[in-house]
Amino acid sequence: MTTVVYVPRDSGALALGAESVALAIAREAEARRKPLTIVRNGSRGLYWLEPLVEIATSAGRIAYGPVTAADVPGLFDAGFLEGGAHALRLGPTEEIPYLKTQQRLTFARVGIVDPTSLADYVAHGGFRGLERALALAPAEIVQAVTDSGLRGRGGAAFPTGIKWKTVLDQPADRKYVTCNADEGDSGTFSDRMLMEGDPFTLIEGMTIAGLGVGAAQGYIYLRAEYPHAHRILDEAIAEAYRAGYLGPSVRGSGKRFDLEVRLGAGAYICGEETSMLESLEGRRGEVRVRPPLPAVKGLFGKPTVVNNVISLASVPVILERGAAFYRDFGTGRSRGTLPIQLAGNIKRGGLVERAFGLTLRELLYDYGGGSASGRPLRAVQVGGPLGAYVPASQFDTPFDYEALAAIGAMLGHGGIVAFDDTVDMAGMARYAMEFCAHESCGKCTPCRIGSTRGVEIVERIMEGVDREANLALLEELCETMLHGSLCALGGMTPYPVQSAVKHFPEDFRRSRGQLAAGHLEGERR
Amino acid sequence: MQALAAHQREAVLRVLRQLKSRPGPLLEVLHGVQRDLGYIPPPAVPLIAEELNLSRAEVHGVISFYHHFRSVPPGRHIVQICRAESCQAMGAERLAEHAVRRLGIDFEQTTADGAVSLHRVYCLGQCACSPAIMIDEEVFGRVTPERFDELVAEHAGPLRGAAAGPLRGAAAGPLRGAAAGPQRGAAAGPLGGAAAGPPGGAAEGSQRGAAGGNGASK
Repeated sequence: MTTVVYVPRDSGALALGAESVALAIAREAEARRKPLTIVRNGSRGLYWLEPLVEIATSAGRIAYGPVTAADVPGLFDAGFLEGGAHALRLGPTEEIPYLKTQQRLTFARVGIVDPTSLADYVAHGGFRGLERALALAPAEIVQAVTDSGLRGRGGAAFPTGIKWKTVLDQPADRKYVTCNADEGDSGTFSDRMLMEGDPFTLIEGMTIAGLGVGAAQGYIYLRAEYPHAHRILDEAIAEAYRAGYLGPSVRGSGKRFDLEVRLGAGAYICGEETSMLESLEGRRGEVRVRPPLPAVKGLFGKPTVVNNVISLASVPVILERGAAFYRDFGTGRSRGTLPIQLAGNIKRGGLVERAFGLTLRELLYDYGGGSASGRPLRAVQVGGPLGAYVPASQFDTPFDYEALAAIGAMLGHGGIVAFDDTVDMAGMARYAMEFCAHESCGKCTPCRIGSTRGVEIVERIMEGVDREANLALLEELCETMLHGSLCALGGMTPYPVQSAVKHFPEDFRRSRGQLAAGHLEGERR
Repeated sequence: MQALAAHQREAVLRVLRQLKSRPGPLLEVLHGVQRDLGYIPPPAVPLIAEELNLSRAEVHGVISFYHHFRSVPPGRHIVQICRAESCQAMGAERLAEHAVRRLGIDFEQTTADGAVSLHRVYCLGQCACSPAIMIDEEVFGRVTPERFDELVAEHAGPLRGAAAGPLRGAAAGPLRGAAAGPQRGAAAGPLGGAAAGPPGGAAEGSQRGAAGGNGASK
């Protein structure tokens, strides 16, 4: 029997050299006449260990990492194909504490299966949710999702089942299911990992959504920055068509569901749902005024489900195991599990899927291991570029929707970006305004003009020009943007700015000399 | 505006034939044209507008809205450096300054030999291995300034003299000015033939480059 070796094709692993590792293993195996099969899986999400190579042994999968191409001959010498001892040997993959303590429901197969093998997907429990959904009435499918307590994982946290019910209840000749895969928030990569590591779960979730609301067409709106995910999704969709899971009669049910990927074009604003719909229709991604909601009048004017990748990919397990199973995870009104992403200046960056309820501290230190630089963590930004900065004094806050809202932060798409004590928070506040100015769609004035004025005001504060008056003006500008913007971009850019001013006032009141010294300190890292 | 070269016109029509009957096809068409030609030549706008029954303003409006679409030929290799928060937390700003110094150009510009275009990007989804860059369609994580030099040399060939030039100083200066036109035009040769470097396109390029921060494209 030939040995099976897993070398991820996840773009994060590729970014760290997985391709050359796979080539080196193939070359070495040939030279040594050791027959083996290399499976290009997704990533387990333990990025400080990537490229993480796994060997299938009789005792389960054994991990080695981080592996470079130069390590490969030594690994063969050590008998790694039989799980032999080596400095890079991490033991059974499932026993690595970072992974072992997780509760992977949505990510159950990511890193385990061959992403584009439909047979592998089915062998690991794939399409069981769809088979169950095919035996249910549409209203029953929607009810199961409602009962699960699933809330939109893209950031807005709206109950998914309620949204689906609105679409189901609309009389219309056509309806759509759209997946928002425009994962533009810095510090987030769970959508990417899922699409690259287990695309059939997303396909299954969207098909179930189509059956639930009566839609026959689905679109995945994917950001152009994700070419690897694009290729893998296209391969998986083609496979699903071949096997009759997509097309005119899903699994012979007589119900049609077609699915395709549409590419974005580098506009952060298109992650906003109405802007995404405009873009899908081939127009400038300008935000629409609501109402009407997309669930009533969405893509091409028809009732449309707009859900994030993770929301849709959580649906198969809910249908397969039941709403109560999913609902039993979590706390308060935050039900189920959340794929959390640890990013930025963090020692063990990666993906942690757990039931809601862990504190930031547990995530940052127990999982993350503290900063990558070895310096104290000073702040984290939670929920992407529109999320608040949280100071170390608030790290005991539980990571759920309500607890974060209570301290003026938001969970967003579940990303946490860590900063050590060399960060200049005034600079981060300026960046938040710059980013808003760069990405504003231009439709509403508070966002379009306010962000540019915001950059100027923060710069004046940093330069020490009329500081107190400019801080007051900044506060007023933030309030205007917060209340007067059409969508979350202008409406939430104040969060990082105001939280930086509130929690790190000293960074906005430094003299120029102190600023220069701080900069030098940062340079020494 | 110069006319489209014959092969460009053919490419645009081929893309339109494939995609025009799809719902909401404009972005798909623009992606197709840029994939085949490397950019969207301005004289293609009226052709696309007519075929899709849109106004020229609508087509131009979409091209200019999205950072991804280019109206000028890019360098032979596109280097994108992530400037978002996670990468900033791991030294992306120093990496960006290094890249500018090393390549002798600013962001949203192309080197004089046409080898490399440098772009900013906001998140490549590699936030657990910051700072990240992308060269053409390959991503790289935990990129130090030294690693940056190796990667660029590997993909785009050895870097030329600009390295010694001061940051945004004299070395970068001439590129922004009038000299950028013919250089870009000449560099674009292999991509679009003689017609690829129309003076209009080049002028637009230098304007976009000079706009720096806010008007910059990814």
